[in-house]
Amino acid sequence: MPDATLTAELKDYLESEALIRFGEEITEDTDLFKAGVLDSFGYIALMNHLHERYGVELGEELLDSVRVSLRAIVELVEASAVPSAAHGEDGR
Amino acid sequence: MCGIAGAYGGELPSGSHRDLIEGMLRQIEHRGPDEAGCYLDDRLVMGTVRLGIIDLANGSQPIGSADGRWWLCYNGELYNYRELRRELSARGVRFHTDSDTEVVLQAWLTWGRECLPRFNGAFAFAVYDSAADELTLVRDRFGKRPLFVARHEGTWLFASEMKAFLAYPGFRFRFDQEQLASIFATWTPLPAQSGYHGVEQVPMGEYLRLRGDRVERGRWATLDLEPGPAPESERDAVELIRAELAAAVDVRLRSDVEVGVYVSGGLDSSIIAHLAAARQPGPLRTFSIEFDDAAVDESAEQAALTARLGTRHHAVRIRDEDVVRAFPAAVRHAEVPAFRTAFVPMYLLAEQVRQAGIKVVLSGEGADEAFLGYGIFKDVLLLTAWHDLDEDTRLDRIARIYPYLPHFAGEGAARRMLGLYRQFTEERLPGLFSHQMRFQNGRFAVRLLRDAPDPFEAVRRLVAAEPGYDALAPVRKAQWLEFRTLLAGYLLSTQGDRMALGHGVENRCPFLDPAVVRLAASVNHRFGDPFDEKYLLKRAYADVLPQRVVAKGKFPYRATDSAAFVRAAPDYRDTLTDSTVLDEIGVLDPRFTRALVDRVFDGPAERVGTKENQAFTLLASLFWLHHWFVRGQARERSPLRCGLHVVDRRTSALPA
Repeated sequence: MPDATLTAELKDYLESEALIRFGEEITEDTDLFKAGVLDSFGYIALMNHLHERYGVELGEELLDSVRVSLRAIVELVEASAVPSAAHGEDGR
Repeated sequence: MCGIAGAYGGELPSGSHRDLIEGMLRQIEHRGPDEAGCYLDDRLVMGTVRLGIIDLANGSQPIGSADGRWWLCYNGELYNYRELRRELSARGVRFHTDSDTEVVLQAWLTWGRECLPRFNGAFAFAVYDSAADELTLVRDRFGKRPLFVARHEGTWLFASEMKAFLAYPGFRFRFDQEQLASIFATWTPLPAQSGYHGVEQVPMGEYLRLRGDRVERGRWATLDLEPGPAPESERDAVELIRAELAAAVDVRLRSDVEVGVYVSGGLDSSIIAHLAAARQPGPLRTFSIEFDDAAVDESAEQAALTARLGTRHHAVRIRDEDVVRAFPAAVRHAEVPAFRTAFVPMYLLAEQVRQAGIKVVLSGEGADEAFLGYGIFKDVLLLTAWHDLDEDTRLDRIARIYPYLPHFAGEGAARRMLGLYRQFTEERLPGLFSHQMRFQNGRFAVRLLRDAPDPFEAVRRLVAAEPGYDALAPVRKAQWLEFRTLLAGYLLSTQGDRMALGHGVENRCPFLDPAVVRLAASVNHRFGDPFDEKYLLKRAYADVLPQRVVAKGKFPYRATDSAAFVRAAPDYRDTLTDSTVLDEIGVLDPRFTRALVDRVFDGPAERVGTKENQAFTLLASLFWLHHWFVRGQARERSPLRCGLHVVDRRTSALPA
């Protein structure tokens, strides 16, 4: 189950960055590239944000996911973020 | 250089035909302030405003055939007019002037439309066969000179600039949502687009033939980018480039008035300045733009070049307030939405050029398209080969594509771009593989529009209808798109012809000589490293240009975009979000428009990137286009300042 706080934070970030509102038209499962929400500048800004805010350093793998949606981003951040003590995994 | 305008067929409005054409010509008098002439017939009015450059005394227009059957209104320069004149003279044609205009008419009379592929020049013209009542409108192969056409109540209107239509009784401009969506997403109008309902361009290399109610559209030149035989060696290739460019500059120095050169500080215009300086008896006059904003300023390279060449140099220093102050007037001349502000300083530069007494300038446009100078050509090489490359090679190439862009710089930047590039390794927009990233980014600005239709429909149709396009190699498809969109739709027009002619200055582009473009196609990517852009051009001129100019690498000419408005004109914030204005413009989405304007004015600055700048500039230009064109405020109501020479062939005017 994706972390609700993380989802809310990233939703806020994307809404503010791309001047959009998540709702009926753009949902957590919408492909953000195809919907024109994410572009190359927005993508780089998102990468920088994930790096600075969550310590995530992603290369190609984020967009290798089938769908670049809010949900997919949250899941990838959860999977690759600098771990809390409870997980004890290596961050990238 | 000149401007043309006219109206053909249907019921020409009652009242004076002379007043009608004078009104239309008055709107474009800046293109040709030296003299004006018109031809009146029962079915046609057409005229020319002329900027005298060749045969100042005898080059007046309109020009007719000796028997009075054929009439020509011509805007342009035919650089090889002397050679064609000799060829025609040898066939027995007698000339009465030394002008290139007469050569165009005689070539048309001798060869018909087959004369066009012989023309090396920049032109748009209207030629009328009064015996057959047939009007043909023609535009040059690269779209150097403009030609707009509109249908109004059964009458065909045509003009070098759309603003001429404002003088036609009952004509109104209305934004076209579908075209605007395409323009916002792809940066520029496509070859036939204008941004307005019912107004089209004669696309580059095409003609429009009107005879009564019959309309025929056809093409006389295709954009041939197929490589010919490769030179045997790099040395041969370099020699060929030197020879063709020298010849291209030679013919473009043909003028009865002094010719200057625009220098940006980049490689292309430096090459042109070098070649022109070597061919002038006295010091060459050069002109450039300097910026207060160090991020876009290239004055150090300009200084190195002009010192090296010993030119008489004029620089215009541009501050934020200059961009903002001249923006409305520059948009009035641009006539179409603009995605960056860099055309505005060019308008101010042309003003200085004209004040310095210069009417003709050479510039470096076309080099990046012909010799593959843009990062997008490296993009397509990388993306085409993506699946065959290992990660280190991908990273190395990404880092070499746009070194001048901030988000490509810095530690780890290339690695962060990997995922982005990966997204564009499959063709999702048919035929547009090379430009998917750019066009996709353009979706942001499309959100300015209410009820925007699919913004890529028009460009998909354009490439689908192009014979032979599908079979082109990926880099040549990218090149074709650059010639047909950014070059013709912005660099040659909004930033080129329109700004220069706004002050009666003609711009000439040696890199767009057909022989140069043909040669470039045969040498590109056959020598050197394709990720070292314009490798052969650098090799050909490294010994004669300052090292810092050659070593700098691609640095596109840019100006300060939205930040200039934020710093110098904060009242734009209220102007662009005023409910009454937004309602009146009609096509804009008020919520997104306000969110964008707030973002631009509230910042922080690092959150205002390329996409915000482009969307903001498109918005601000749309605001002024609405003012000038939709509301009709661009219309000049005063008479022509230079007077009007009239050829009246109406039945009512002929002797009984």
